Formats: sequence, structure tokens, C-alpha cells
Amino acid sequence: MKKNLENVYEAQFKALQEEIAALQGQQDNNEREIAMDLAGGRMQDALLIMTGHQEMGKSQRDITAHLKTEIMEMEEDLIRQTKINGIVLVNCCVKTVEKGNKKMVQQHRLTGHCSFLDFQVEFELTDVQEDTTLVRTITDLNIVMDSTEFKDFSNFVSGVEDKRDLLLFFRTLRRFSDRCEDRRRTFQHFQEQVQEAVPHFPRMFPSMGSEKMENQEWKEKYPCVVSLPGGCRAEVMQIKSPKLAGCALTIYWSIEVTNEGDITPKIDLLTKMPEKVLEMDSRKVIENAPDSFQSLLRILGAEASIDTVIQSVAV
Amino acid sequence: MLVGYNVLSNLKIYISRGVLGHLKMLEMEANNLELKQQELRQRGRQEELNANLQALLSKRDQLKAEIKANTSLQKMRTLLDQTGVPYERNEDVDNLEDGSDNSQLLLMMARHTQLKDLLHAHHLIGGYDVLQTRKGKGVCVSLATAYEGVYLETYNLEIDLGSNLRICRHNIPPFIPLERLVTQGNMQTDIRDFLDTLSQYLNAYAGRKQQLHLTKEIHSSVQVAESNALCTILVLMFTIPGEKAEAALCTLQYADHTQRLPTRVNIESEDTALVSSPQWKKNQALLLETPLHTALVTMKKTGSIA
Repeated sequence: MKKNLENVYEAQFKALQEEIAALQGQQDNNEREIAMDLAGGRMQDALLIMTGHQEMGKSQRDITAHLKTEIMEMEEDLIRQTKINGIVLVNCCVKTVEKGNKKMVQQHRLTGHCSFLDFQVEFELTDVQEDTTLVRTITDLNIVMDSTEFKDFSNFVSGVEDKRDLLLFFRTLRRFSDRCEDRRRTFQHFQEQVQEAVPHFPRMFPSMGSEKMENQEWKEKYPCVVSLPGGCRAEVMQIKSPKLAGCALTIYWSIEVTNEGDITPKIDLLTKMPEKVLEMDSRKVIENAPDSFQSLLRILGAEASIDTVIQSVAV
Repeated sequence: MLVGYNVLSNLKIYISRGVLGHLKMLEMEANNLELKQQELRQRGRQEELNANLQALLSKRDQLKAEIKANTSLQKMRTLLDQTGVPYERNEDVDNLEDGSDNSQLLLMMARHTQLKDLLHAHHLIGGYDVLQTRKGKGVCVSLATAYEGVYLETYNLEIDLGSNLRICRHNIPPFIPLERLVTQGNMQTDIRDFLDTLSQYLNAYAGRKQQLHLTKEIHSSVQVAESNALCTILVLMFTIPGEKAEAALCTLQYADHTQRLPTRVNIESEDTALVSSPQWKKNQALLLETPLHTALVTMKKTGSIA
């Protein structure tokens, strides 16, 4: 009788132990799939509530309030970091690949953007505890970017993936986007400036009728000098003389990126003139235009140089 | 006499019956005690087994509850990640809620983990980890360095937020031109650009230093004759394989301190013919385009150096 009872107990015990082991395994697996940082008093308190236990002296309202405060502080912190880093991170998912006594390997998947440049970055981070220091290494890096039109930047990205230089990627991405912004701002400024020049014209013709008609007439008589065939984010700006058909000046503004992350904006002026005009150009003004433009750039900078070119054509 | 005998024997019988009886009583009592002890032990054992069982049961139930909570939290977090909408106005999240108090808490917990991950990510990608100090009167900034995937030193700056920004504390090595960058740069107008430039110098220095470190570690046959603190001048001695085991002196100059590759490579040897050979012209070009420790691997493979 007693033996039977003991056997029953033993059987139940063993079954429970197995069940617990299985559950433990399930928990470990879950924690690896989606690794979340649950450290800290507030989160632990909240977890206790979720599992149906509650510590004496800590009401749910208090815990909720404290959690809310922490969340607000972190949101403010995130705004600060986003601002100083110039990078907007939208999502970050972490997966634990390996977790040992002295070693941890985690996979991070980040999505975000730097101004108009979207990215999706996956990297594997290995942390090894060596004596007194923690050695942190990126053991794999994968970068996906939409902007395939920037060929230079794509080459840089492949290089950076091979060298697993995550920090160089983001440093360079930021500077590259700043230079792109410079270009966009300048191009857009000229596009708007020329269109804005329209309302000024009525002052020269006071006898004219309503402003609307004046604008219409102006547009018909003097079509837009500046055009951006690829939009204000592209590399090309075309300047056409309204009076001289077939004469076009093109500004190529490329932004070069080396494998080491050095960024060099290069602005070139190209001319396209009909044969007749070139024949008449005895002083080789048109032939020397590209070089003259480079000199202008060195002295006046991008915006003023382009302005000079437009003025010379528009008149 | 017979009577006395009878009395005696009766007495004996009476006494022996008593003793026997007593003995028997004692025996019975002892048996009872043993039984009782056995019962007690049995019950104690049962209680122990029961207690153990109860402990395991509660452990199992605890685990189940934790797994359930964790799974709910993960679901909520995944939803937050996917919808990307500020969590206060999230409709999908409302649908997940079961109307209890706990769903509000769950949402907040999910948001908490999301923010923690995002902040950590900013740090990992080499962000400046800006921290407010002295009740908003100052900020602390961290500049991380890394090379070929290995995270290296982090440098710190504390900036005073007066009418003019001023660096009040830092641990930037003296051979980095911090002063010059502050006075000639745009720290006042574009702090991020200033930090980016400083970061460039620091990362280049860290990269050169790491290349030297790896060279010493991997290529023991290569002797480092000279190196400076900023790692902008390096003199190495190679052993050229062959009978004569001649030496070649290689000088690497890094004139651009924002670069991790040399601007000039000079190779000298007593065997002047060797130095001007096409193989060594290639090596010279290699050293200009490839990180030092990697270039040396190639040079060993091609048999140029020992």
C-alpha cells in the first residue's frame, strides 16, 4: 500500500519535472526569438502584475504611473538622440542567437531613414567577456537601401558590408545626405527664384492690366530658363536661353563617395551650342566656360556661381 | 508445608503471570509505539512528498503564467513595431485589448521595451549618446570608435551650454587637434558637423592604431622599428626570404590624419634591384590601398616577405 503511494508520488513528481523542463525550454526559446530588455524595477513590478502576483505595498496605479514617467523620459531622450545623430530609427528588433556564460550573440534588425534616404540594416553583434573587458564585435553586416540611383553610394555600401564597418556607414550616410540636401536646396532655390521673378515684371509695365494677365504674358514671352529634368533631388540642372534656341548649359552636381567614406561634391558645367554659335565664338568663351566655372566655384561657391551662369543666360 | 508450597507456587504463578503480563503489556506498548512511529514517519513522508509536489506544481503554474505574459507582451510589441503609429492612437492595439486594466499596462510595457531597443540601437550605430548634465546647463557627448567591426575606445566631451558653447572636460588625446577644430571649426553654429569632424579624426586614429596592433599580433616576423603616438609614421622591417635573409625597411606616412590609409610608402633595402622590381612596385601600391595587416598577409603569400 505504502509502496504504491510512493510510486504514485514519484510518477507525478517525474511528470511535473518533465513538464517544467519543457516549459523552461519554451520560455528560453521565446526569449531568444524576440529579445526584449525587461530589466529595471518598474518593468519587473509590471511583470509581477501580469503574472498575477503583486508585491505588497505597490498598487497597480503606482506602478502604471511610474512606468508612464519612464516612458516619457525615454521618448524625450529618443528625440534628443535622433536630433544629434541626424538619423531616424523607426524599428529595432533583436534576436538572441547564442547566450553563454561569457559570450552572447544577437542579431539586430534596424529600419529607419536619414532625411530622404531609407535604410534597412541587419547586423550580428558578438559580445565576449575577456578578463576585465567586454569585447564587442560586429560579426555580420547587411545593408539594404532604396536609393539605387546613387551608384557611388551603392559601391561604398558594399565595401562597408565587407568590412563590417557599421559606424562608418552611418557617419558617411549622414554626411552624404547633408551634401544631397545642399544640392536639393540650391537647385530648388533656383527653380523657385526663376518662377518668382514673374510677379516682379509688372513693375516694368505699369500700364498693364491685372497681375494674372501679366503673369500669363510673361510666361508666354519668356519660358522658364531653369529646369530640373530629374527633379530637385537629381544631379542635373539645365539652363536654356529663352532667346537662343539650341543653346543649353547643363550643371552636373555629383556627390562622390570613396570606400573610406570621403565625400566630395563635384559640380561641372557643360555647354551645348549649335555649330554656328561656336563658329562665332572667336574669344573661345564657350570653350573655356567649364574651366571658368570651376574658377568661379572656388571663389564664389556653388549658389553664387550658378546664379552668375543663369543671369548671363537669362538676359 | 504443602499449603506454603501452594501459596508459594501460586505466588510464583501470580507473580510470573504479572511479570509475563507486564512484559506482554510492555511488548504491546512497544509494538504500538513502533506502529505510531511508523505512521508518523509515513505521514511525515507523505507531507514531505506532498510539499515537494506542491512546490513543483506552483513552479509549473508560475512558469505557465510567465510564458503567457511574455507571449502577450511579444505580440503587443510586434504589433507596435508593425503599425508604427504612436501608441496612444493605435486602433489595432485597441482591438487587441480585452478591456481589462492589464491591457493598458501591457501596451505600456511593450512601448517601454521598444524605446529601450531604439535607444540602445542609437548607441550601437555610433551615436553621440547625448546626456544632459548639471540640470540642463551642460551636455555630455560620447564619441565611439570602431575598426573592421571591432568596437574600440570611446571618448567623451562635456560641453557647457552658456551663451557660447565651451568644452569644459574631455578625454581626447592631446595629439588630436581638438583646440584647432574648436577655434577654426563650426562648433558654435553646427555642433553635429563639428562632432562629425572630430569623430573622423578619432576613428582614423583608432583605425591606424588597430592596424598596428593587429600587425604586431599576426605578423611576428615583421619588426616595428618606429611608430609615433598618433600612428601617422610607421617604420617596419621586413625579412626577405632567401639565402641571404636580407632586410627591407618600409616607411609609411599618413599625412592626412583623417585617413586610415597611408599617403606615402617608401621601401629601402641594400638589395636595390629588389626594391625596384615589379613585385615590389606592386607591394608598394598594395600598402597604399590596403590596410597594413591585410597587405602583409598578401605579401607573405606571394613570398615577398618572410
